[in-house]
Amino acid sequence: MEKDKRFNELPSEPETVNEETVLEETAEEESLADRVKVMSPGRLVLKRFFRSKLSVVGLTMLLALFLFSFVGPFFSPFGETQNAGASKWVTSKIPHDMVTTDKDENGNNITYHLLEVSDPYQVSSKTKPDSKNWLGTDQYGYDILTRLMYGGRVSLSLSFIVIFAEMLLGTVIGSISGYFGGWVDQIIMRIVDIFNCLPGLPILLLAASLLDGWGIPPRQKIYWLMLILTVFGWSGIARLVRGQILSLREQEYMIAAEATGISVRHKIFRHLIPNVMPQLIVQATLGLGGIILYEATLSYLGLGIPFPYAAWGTMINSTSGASGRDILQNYPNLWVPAGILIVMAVLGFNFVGDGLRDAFDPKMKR
Amino acid sequence: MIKYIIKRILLSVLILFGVSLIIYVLVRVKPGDNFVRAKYAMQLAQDSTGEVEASVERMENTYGLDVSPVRGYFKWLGNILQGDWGESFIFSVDSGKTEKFYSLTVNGSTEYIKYENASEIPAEATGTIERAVSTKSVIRIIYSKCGVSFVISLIATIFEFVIAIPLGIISATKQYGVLDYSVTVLAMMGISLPTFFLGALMLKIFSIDLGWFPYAGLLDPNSGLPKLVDNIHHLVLPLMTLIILSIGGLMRYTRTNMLEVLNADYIRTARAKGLSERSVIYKHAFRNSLIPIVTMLAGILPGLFGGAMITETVFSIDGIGKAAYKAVVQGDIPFVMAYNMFLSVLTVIGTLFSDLMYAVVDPRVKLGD
Amino acid sequence: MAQAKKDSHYISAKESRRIAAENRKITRAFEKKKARRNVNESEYLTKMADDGNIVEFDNLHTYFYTDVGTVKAVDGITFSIPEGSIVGVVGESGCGKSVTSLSLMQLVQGPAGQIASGSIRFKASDGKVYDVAKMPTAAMNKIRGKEMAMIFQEPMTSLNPVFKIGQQLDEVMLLHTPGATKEQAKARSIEMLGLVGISDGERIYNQFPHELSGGMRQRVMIAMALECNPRLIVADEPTTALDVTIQAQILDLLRDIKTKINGSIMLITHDLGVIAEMADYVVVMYAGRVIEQGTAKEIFDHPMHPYTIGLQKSKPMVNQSVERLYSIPGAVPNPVDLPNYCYFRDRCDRRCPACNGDYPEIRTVAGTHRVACHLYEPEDKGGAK
Repeated sequence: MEKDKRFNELPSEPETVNEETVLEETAEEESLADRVKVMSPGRLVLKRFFRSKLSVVGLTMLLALFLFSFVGPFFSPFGETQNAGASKWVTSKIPHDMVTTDKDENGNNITYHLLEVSDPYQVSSKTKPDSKNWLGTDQYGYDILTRLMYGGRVSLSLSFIVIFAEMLLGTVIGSISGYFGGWVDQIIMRIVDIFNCLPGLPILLLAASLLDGWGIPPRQKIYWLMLILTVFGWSGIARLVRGQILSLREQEYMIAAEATGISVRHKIFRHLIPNVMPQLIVQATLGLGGIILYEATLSYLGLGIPFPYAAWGTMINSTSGASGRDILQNYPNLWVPAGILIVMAVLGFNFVGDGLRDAFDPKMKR
Repeated sequence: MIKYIIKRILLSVLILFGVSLIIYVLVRVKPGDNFVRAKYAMQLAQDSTGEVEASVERMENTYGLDVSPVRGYFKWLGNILQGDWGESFIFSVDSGKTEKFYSLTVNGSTEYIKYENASEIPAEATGTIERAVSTKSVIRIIYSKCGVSFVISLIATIFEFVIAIPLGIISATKQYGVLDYSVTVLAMMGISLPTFFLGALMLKIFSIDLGWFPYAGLLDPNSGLPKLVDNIHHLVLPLMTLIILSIGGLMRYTRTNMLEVLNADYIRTARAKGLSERSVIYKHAFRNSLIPIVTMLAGILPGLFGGAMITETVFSIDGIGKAAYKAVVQGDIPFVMAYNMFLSVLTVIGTLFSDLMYAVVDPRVKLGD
Repeated sequence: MAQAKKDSHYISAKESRRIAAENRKITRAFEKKKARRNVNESEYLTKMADDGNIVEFDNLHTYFYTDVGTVKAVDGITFSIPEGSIVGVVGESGCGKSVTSLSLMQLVQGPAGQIASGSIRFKASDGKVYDVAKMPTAAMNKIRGKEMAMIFQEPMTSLNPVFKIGQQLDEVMLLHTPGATKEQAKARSIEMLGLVGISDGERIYNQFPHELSGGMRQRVMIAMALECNPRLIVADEPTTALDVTIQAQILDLLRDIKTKINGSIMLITHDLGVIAEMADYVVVMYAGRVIEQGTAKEIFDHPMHPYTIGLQKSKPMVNQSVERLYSIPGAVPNPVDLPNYCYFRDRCDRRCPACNGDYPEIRTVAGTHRVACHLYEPEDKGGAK
């Protein structure tokens, strides 16, 4: 039994020799059959993926983030925009005591003092971490830990939706371009060129700033952000898919598929797309990190998710502007955790993407 | 060869045409609103001069707001081609020209008046002064703000290449070693760090807590240091931020290419000749791993001249990046449009340049196919 | 239970990491040993067992330390290359013949691939005998390309695409001949190009590899190998990637060259036809071991091992009509986990009870003819006759 364990594992050395052996072996007949264990490609990829320490670290970070962002709020006693401080209204007398007197129904004198009552959040804002607010409260008196959870929800769900839309758009356009070739390809590729030529962040900023100009309500803004990120993000994927399809089209098995006389749609969706999938998955995973960065940057610049909704980038934004230096210097609990979470998310996606790339690539050593 | 270049240039023009269309559509897709806001910003900016009506008219003219979007686009495009890229709402720079004013003493107070024609100058004008003329032309603003950004980016880019390429090569030759792992992890962290967060951390640690470097700007008149030294002192943190962020990507790219090359058959041939590992790597492998790095050149040009938006903003450096950010936030549409076009032109030129460079570094590539 | 059974086929990530950690230790020790500088010659100088040989493989083991276990690509082979002869090494894909040749050149892809034990004795032109298996890389670099040269299977990818042919040829001469000038190197390179049948060497000298055809590139590779008058040329499937007509030309060329430089050739191929045409001695390898060896005549006229017989039967003959070519069933076993009985047993059509026993030892059957098969064991050991 001990011996059998390693039997069918690919000795994935650069040596061509061993690979061929295994290939033949999978088609092995009875006599050696008890020694031969066929592993599905999916499983092989998974095994290779989990063998890399970095991908496991990345996956763990992402899982932790997901739990934190999507499950965390259920355990938090505070809401996203709920004042976390002790509900102590601070009252103070106005310097020149304004007093009015009146008589009640019994004819007694009543003196009314006009008091100034400050907004409650002003009271509990920027508190240091304590047992109640584990990371303290921010300048509006919201619980930072809770805000981080909601910010994570926004970032993670936004990036997944955007990447999904980008993939969909990019794959469809890219495969049409690659499959049909000719003038269709020419036109589509020129359009892709144009989108590739647009400067990334500045054009996003322009588009996002126009949203403000249009007076989009804050609640809807996230959907518009998704739209913008998708519109300016699909071209890379289209190019990738098109390149892949072009090279796949030349492969013998495509000619064989053609010879069987199957339909175009069938050819594209059953034979070409599945072959592009590994690269697409890798690209999507790495792209997720990029989108989180873009979203955070937009929020940081005040053009992303608007207040009062929480976003990681916005939380770091507190370090800029008039009171920036004070916060930078004295309240690291306001912005450092958000930064760490952004890094964790992006790093997690990058590690996982990298691990997936290695796992999908049969040529990779180890 | 020439034919190929001409073809590529024509294609680039086509691409820029598309880019300009997208930018114009973005701005005009909901007619009115953007420019209403813009006009408002402009009124604020120019209230003091009392030239509101004229400049609003000029703006409508420049952007073709007075006609239908389609005609407006071509009108705007025509203006761009003639060098009229519009006027910024919020910036103005020294145009380098001066104007002559005549001082007149009327009722005991001195006024300075400019006369178009010499014949109009009254005899009682007592003297003249020259004043620098400021301009709001976005082209001139971009031109004047580019310099600082260029210097910073150039230094950062040089450091980036000098550090990242050797690290990538060493990492590849020692694949899966301790060094490779640590370099990989560090590179990934560099890629994953948001600029503004790293910048804030840098400021917090090195400027506020340790007090080693100044907090903002490029020059502190009270520092008592020579100007150049003071500049460098101010630039350390932004440069470090830029370098840390950019190294990771290039290093990973070099490593991947190098690994691919090191597995190639001709590397085995080189070893079979009896060449030392050094020559194998730095002569045979390095030249080949350079080929894909040429692709990176396409992005260098916009990187050099386009400024680093976030870094400049975080460290309050008065370069084009910070200007662009300010323009975006304050709704300076003419500047933002011009800035985007400017970057696109640079990208197109950069891409063309990198394609030509391919032919230089890879003898297999023949231009004109 | 079912789950446990299913999982037992695969190594767990934990186990794989454990293996990887062990491998790192092992391979690092090997790499360190190879990377040493200024090693005393006595450490790797040795003596030939038979002075008539130029190369002697003695119980050579070359392993690949992979994360899934140790691949014994070459597992204890012993044979020698007599001076002035062509020795053909033949076998299926994956039998370890390429690794054998790479071991001889110390070109096994590290750090995973290492010569684990055994020795490879090589007699240089100055009479010194080196043990390649023990040599540090620095010392090896002095004889690689000079005393022994290698021609690879893929002429299309074996030349560096960014350097001109001339540069790549000159390099060898400049490297191994102290005091050689560029002009001398160029003259030598053009001469060598002439030797391999390229008449307009001057023009080829200034061309890039991609401008040449596959056959031309293989000629250039041969010219490169000849640059320093090596005593041994290792040709690893030199004709496999070429057109049939070009194949014959290249083989002729190799034979010519051998007489011209008075050296030896180790010819690795899976093509029995090539072997029959070229080789003086033949070594048949299977799953990392030598199963039969002898002179070409012995192997072709009296093949003994069932595998050799199978190989010959599977080769098409020109004036023989057969209904169907013979094919040996099955494939070479996985080298990660070889059985403890004869590796060929499960594919063998002449199995006998003894085959269930240990792996058969290689024994001399007649003259230089040696075979590793239970069929030819003396009666008393239970061999079937």
